[in-house]
Amino acid sequence: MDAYLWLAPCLILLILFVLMPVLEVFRMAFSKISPANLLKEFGTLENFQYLFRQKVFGRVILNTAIWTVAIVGISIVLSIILALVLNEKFKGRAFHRTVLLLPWATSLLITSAAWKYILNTEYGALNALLLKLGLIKKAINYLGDPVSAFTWMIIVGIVVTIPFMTFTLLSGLQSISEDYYEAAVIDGANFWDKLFKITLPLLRPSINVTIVLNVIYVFNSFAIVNTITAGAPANQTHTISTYLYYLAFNKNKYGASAALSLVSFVILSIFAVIYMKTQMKEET
Amino acid sequence: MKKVLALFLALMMVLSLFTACAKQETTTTAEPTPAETETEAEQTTEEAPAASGEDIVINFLGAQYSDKTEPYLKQVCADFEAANPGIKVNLEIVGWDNISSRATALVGAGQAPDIYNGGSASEYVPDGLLYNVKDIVSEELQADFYPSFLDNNRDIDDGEVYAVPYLASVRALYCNAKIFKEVGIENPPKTWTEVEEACQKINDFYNGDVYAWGIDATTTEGQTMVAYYGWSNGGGYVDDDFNYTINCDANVEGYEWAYKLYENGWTNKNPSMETRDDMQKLFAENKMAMLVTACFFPALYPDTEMLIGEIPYNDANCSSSSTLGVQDGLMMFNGSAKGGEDSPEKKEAIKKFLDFFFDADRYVQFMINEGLLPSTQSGAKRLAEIAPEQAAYIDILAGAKFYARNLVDWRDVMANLIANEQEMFAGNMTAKEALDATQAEIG
Amino acid sequence: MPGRKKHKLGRVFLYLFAWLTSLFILYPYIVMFLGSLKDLQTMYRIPGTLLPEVWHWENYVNIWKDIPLLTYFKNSFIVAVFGTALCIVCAVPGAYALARMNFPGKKTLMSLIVMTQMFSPVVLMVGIYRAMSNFGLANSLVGIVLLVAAFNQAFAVWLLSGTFATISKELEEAARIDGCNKLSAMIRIILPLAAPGIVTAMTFVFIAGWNEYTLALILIGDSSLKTINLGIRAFFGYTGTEWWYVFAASILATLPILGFFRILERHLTGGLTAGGVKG
Repeated sequence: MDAYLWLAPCLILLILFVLMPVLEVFRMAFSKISPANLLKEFGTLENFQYLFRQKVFGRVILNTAIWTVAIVGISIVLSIILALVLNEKFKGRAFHRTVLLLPWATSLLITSAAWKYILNTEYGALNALLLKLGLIKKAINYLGDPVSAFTWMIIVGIVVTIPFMTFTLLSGLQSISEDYYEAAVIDGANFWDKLFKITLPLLRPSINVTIVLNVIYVFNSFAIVNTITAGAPANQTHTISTYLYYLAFNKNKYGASAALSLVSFVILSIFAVIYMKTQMKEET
Repeated sequence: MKKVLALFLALMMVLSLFTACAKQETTTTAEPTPAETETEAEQTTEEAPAASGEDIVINFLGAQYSDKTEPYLKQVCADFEAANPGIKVNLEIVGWDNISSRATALVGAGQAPDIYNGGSASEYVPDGLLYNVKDIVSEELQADFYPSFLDNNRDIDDGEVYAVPYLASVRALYCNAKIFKEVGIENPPKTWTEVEEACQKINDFYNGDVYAWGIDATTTEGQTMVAYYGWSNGGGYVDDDFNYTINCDANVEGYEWAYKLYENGWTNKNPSMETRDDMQKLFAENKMAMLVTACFFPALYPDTEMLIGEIPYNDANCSSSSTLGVQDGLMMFNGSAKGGEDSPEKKEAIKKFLDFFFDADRYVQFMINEGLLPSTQSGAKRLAEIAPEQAAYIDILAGAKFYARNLVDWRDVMANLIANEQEMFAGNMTAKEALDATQAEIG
Repeated sequence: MPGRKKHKLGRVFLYLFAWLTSLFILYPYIVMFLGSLKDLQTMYRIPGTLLPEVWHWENYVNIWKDIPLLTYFKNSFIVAVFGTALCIVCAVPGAYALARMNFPGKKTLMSLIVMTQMFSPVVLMVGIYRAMSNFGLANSLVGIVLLVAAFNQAFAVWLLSGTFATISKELEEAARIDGCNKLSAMIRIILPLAAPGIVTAMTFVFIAGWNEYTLALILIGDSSLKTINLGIRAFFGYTGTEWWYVFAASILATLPILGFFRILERHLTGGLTAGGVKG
């Protein structure tokens, strides 16, 4: 019983401020809701039906999957390389580390706003730079078609994900004892042997942690898409979190928006279960 | 490591001290200094009974139009409070793109503001959350609003009016004078044929470096296309009985025409993403020759010379141009949105505030600040006296047509329309398919 | 890694990769910095300009006068600092209980707590507003502080319980023999040893609080309660975006955090690998 007393502050906070809104969303998802966002009667599947009827629904789910896998996947590869690089002692390392902290120290809203300006076709800074350098002849329309716009937003997502990942991996690297490498050198191991037989396996726990955390962060990420394209063109660049905002505030479909929230919980939970299963398998 | 932790904790403590001090400071400055108290002693005693908790508080949720909005409204509220002891106006200004989410949150929680500037009344009427204008606006003020403006807020079912027009703007065709001069076009084009001729000329002259015509199909403005290309061809959003007519032949033809301009390379390259703001900048940089946009455009770019015309129409099907007027509503939430009925005194206070707010001399200053147009006839008269260059717009405004915002699913339908327009510009749908799809999605 | 001298090619790659990444990351900041010194016309030249035509250093002075930047900063600090403090204060005993005590339903409880990390405020917007106004906490910084603490609770508990689990039990037992009760044993023995984890958790919550945007967006109405992100968002106006304001305010908002990070650099994520990995 003592334990519950210790847990009380944490649980109270979670129940009042996380669980209550969650229950509220559940209630909304299964209720009729007026355009003024008032709950009418409970016990309808209308909201889900409306949601699944939307022709972009599949696209939104697919986008979210691409978004999460691409950002987390590419970031983790780049971060491993970057962590290995920054773990070496070389001139200017402190500078590079500071630079790497920048995106983390900047709020996502600011980063997204800056990129929106940079990517503008007409007055944007990227076209200005490339034109001046003579690399392009005509301004490029970066955000014009969904594929290119989405790719650019993924790039922004990667830039803001890398710092956290790299620093997590760096501290993982620093906890690997030099003894392993010394022993390996005696055995005649080369660079690649050391990388694949010592560094990466020992780094595995850190890699796992940052992947799990970032899957959740990136999946729920809102500011980048909302600021740069807000889903345009033709709702082709929405992810779940921006689309549910769009449903609620552009279309007044609060119930459908709540229904989508539930869909997103289900998806994340499936991910969590799969992750836990594989974790357990590895541990046994 | 411990040092770092200690440092962090120390930092936090210092900061909490700092914030505590800051709070204290503000409270002390908020209290009048002794000297002030003495000189104002008489006044304070007079106001004392009202100040001791019996103040009537009016909550006003308004949108930010420019950086002048908040200071202006603050001043109006302060002046009103000074003139009406015992009434306090609680002003909250929210950025334009956030105001509806803020209002939704407030209404959903039963804490609606008393006066709200934004959104559309039709969303709140079915739940019975709004005062009938008859009950909360003085008769003089009701009579002062342009009747056509008030009509746009009339509920389709019961024929009553649930919002008053806060302010308005009209859309017009703006032509870049410098470009027109260089190319040798004298007047803004009036008809579709003239537009095409002008586009051809401009395109040839600059070899495609200048966009002749601007199209806006963005998520915030794309619904205007029916007004610009449908009305001007005899089409429109709805018929006389407020049934949607999104895919009527006239609209389809209008959209096809707009798409033709785009396909010919005469327009901006990315109508789905380039906002009004972006295009106005292109225009000001002499990269765009013609743009239909809001009447506050010239005030934003005083250095850019412009020719102003009416929205071009298809003279094969129409005999004159139709102007899009856009009005922002002001609605008054009733007790059922606020968790309790308003006292008669409070209703009286709201009435008073509205009269005060729309007083021509005061209200017109707001319009001049923002480059927007008044919704009252007295305001229009006053504006014509002090800002004659705006007078032309006022005439246009009187005959303007409005969005069918009194339809309860208006925002949903427009969101679908915009998405389908964007499909059209992406080449995935023809004009007819896009409009048919929108009409079919109306449920 | 020993033997690195042999790899000349490797060195070149190392430099190149570091520089390329840094340049790419720095690029938006260079644009923001130069942009913050431009005037509005230069900002919108077509095609775009790289450097300001006239260097408007005074922008950095004027911005303090034109907008209540100091208030925004103060509010953001309040949210971040108190949100962090509350979050950690609640998470420490909870994490300790989960790491050290045995009680029925422990595993389930842990997974439930971790599950709450999946709920993003954006998804819950409307629900949050409803709940908060029931508590009378809408339109107040206290509300945001509580929410920041709550929405980061799962992460903090998860991280800290991992950290606590790595600390040897014997130390604590020794302390208990010396007459400490559970609480004082925790404060005297465990907390100092768990410092890496605590610092990491604090940093994370602090960042989350400083970057908080969606909660403030729906909850804060009063302009004197606006946080820096809300303030910046307001420059995307009805009639256009005032980019130089956005950029100048952005740079000013980023610098203090960057300094703070530099000081803490080594410990930013130390706690994650030290303890959290087993969670």
